[in-house]
Amino acid sequence: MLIFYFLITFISELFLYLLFFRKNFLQTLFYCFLINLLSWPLAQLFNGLFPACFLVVELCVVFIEFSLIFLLFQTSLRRALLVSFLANLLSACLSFL
Amino acid sequence: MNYLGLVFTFLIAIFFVSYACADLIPPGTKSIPIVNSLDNIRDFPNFTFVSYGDCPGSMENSVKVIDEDGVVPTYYKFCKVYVYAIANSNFDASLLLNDTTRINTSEQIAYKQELKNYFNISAKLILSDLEFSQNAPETSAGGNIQQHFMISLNTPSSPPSNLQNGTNSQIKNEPQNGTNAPSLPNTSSLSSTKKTGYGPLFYWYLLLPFLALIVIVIILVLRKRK
Repeated sequence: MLIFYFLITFISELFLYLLFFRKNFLQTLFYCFLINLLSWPLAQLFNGLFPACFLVVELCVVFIEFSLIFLLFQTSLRRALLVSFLANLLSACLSFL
Repeated sequence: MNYLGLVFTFLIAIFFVSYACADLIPPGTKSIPIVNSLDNIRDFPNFTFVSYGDCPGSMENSVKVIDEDGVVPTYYKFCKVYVYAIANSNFDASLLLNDTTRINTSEQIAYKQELKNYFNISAKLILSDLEFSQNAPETSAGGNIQQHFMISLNTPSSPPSNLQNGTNSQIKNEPQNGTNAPSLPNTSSLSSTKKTGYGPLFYWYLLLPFLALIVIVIILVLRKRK
């Protein structure tokens, strides 16, 4: 079940990554997977340990992903922040369903 | 790009994102639906039992009549659910079962207030803050949790003010489809789940990000060397 939750997050974020980085599909797929593999388990872990700090955890995730997008995709800070924010917003909104 | 707009959007979104907290399942646990039922509802033919879901932002009618089987209808996870007993003579169907969708917020607030007033005067609270799902250890078998409530009334024929609050004097744990039901999710077992329920998953949650980080560092180092 946890793998299923991870896949939902990964696919939804991949969709958004592809909107911004269309040049190399495989590279985007790989980077998106790496970024999610790093941030998702940590976010789940900290949310489980400190449920009250959800907002802080989410902000940390946005910041970590923003840094990784900036470094891996070699894009502008502004674009990296936007992608990170939108991707996490989308995956968080999906959890309402 | 308008930075102010971006920051403003971010702050607005954060409010909504915080609601998603309820969906996050702690590692090593899973969500199991709870079926709440009033076992002795047939003992009170002079009363109608209704559930009321106080749902934030909901525009729909949130009062539902509980059928003779006694099963409390489920509500959206953010709703606070109450069960009321109403004497049949006081039952106001036009108010309670009004399924008009209220687009206007003030109409919605007014309707909720009207309902609250009605419940205060003509109904008696039987149960409050009912839960419809519970986290249990990942290792638990599937199935629903059946939570049974026995309603006690001093004098069933008297007005609803004589009703007493229901008690969950009898809580059963019934398997579904032949599977073993998970352990009873009372408060104490829940807190212990949070403290000790991680098991090997905990280490996976640390190992995987670590591996991902190593790969990312390798990619960045290789790129710099080029």
